[in-house]
Amino acid sequence: MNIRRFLVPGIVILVIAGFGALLAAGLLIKEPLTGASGAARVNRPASDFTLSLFSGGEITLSSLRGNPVVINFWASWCQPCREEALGLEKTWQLYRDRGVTFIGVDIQDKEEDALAFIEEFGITYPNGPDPNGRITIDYGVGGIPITFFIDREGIIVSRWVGAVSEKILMESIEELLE
Amino acid sequence: MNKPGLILLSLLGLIIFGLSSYGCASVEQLHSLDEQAQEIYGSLMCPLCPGQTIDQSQSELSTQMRLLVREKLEQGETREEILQFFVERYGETVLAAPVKSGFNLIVWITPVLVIFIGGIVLWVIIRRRVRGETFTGLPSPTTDDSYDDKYRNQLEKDLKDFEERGFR
Repeated sequence: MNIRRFLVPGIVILVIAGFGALLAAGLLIKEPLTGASGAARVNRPASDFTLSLFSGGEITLSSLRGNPVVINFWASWCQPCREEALGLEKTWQLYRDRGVTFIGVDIQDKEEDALAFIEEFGITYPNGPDPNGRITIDYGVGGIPITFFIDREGIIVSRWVGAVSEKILMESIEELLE
Repeated sequence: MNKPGLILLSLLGLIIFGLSSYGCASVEQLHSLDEQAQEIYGSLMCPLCPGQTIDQSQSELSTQMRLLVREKLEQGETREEILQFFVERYGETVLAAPVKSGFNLIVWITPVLVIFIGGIVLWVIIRRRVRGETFTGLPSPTTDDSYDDKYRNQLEKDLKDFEERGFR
């Protein structure tokens, strides 16, 4: 008798508590949207692209097969991009003779602002714009900056969302060189 | 009208008809592509803007995604192929509606299940209430004999007393 009396309210309370827990989890677990940038591309082959460079000429990713590649998506209006710019250039200088290639992809930007940025931070590695966003979309990029680390076989091994430090850059590149 | 003139007129008519048909077909195809594109824009979430589809978002990335969708449609790709292209790049969260497989099925099944169970509960409650009114009504004289016997005995006893002692 007592069991029947409490069975229905018990089930109702359990169902409501379940939905409440789901709602709470949804509200509390707030991974920023930018954090998901490029996540779906990790451990997959890096999409090939040809980038027209600000300095003239172009670079094709597939032509670099056999060497580790670091691709950095940035924009001149992005504050964390400014924070990482010097470190990226410094690390590129450190590893360029060991066969590592850095590529900068400037997205959603104005060319004159991008050129001013490159000059301001003395960036010398290949950089070019992605005017129609095809490379951006191909790499699943949402938020910037984001840096992809591609191994000798052309697989995206890891990514770093947000301003990347020299320490992270070096650790990730050393892994690619192993 | 002479014979060559008639032939020329017929040819001209055919050309005009052919051209207008082609024009109509092109416009129809364009409308169809527009509609398909609109539908896909509403099915893809902007990766940068919380809760907005690329149709609603004004971000540059959404504009680029819309252009790419349109281009892929013009190249003859299907809706499913285009959605799959974006899922491979941005994950399933790029879809405005979760896919109908695996764990996501819960999202699709739960509302139907809740409506179904709710309907059954409602039906049971209504049925019980209707039955409850019948039970609380007057007992049928033909079904409850114990009441009859009790009152009949009392009546017979009172009548007997009345006959013996008369009305006082």
